Amino acid sequence: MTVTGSHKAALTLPTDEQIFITREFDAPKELVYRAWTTPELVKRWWHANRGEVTLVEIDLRVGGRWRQVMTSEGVEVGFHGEYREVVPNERIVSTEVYEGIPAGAPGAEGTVNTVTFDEADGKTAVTLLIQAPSKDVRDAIIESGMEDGLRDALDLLEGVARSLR
Amino acid sequence: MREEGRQRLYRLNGEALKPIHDWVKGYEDLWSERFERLDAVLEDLKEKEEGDDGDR
Repeated sequence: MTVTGSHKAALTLPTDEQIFITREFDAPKELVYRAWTTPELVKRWWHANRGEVTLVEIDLRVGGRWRQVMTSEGVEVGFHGEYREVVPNERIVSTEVYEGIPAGAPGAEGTVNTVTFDEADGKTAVTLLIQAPSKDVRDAIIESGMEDGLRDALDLLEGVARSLR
Repeated sequence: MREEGRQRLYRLNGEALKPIHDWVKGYEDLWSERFERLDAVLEDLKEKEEGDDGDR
């Protein structure tokens, strides 16, 4: 897989229930792993310029829990989960539950996320596989990243595409 | 009507791909922005490591 010079994240949808994201970093995997698993460091990047990360709790061991909260324009969004597999500097498997979904509702059981760190020539390729319980949940996660304007534009495009059939 | 089925598939590729791309773009952008921030964190960590090495 090629990574462009601008280090753009590449997103693919391997199956109806999955999201796969890969990105190369100009750093050894020990540092990428540290930035991925140290609360003070996660606070600095996880917000994606969309708000402030107000809480990061990481109990990095199998069966350990994690929780992250971001505040954006007065709205708090929380995520939590449990670690299922922890191989330092190599691989983390964890569950992730979006706290905005009421217990028992579709998607409340969350996703299973697998992160891998592969180093070659001093650069580290990170892959993130998000396994959702259903296509609907997978699609809802993707749509959570959509801004309203884009959503409107997409509705419009879909209308156009439909009219062309 | 196998021929018609194949034709429809072709049209989906041509016209539906763009909406699919736009649909994932917001989520892809979210991760791109996270990763750009992560780049900055890594630069700091690298500098710190080099600094620590220098002190030895």
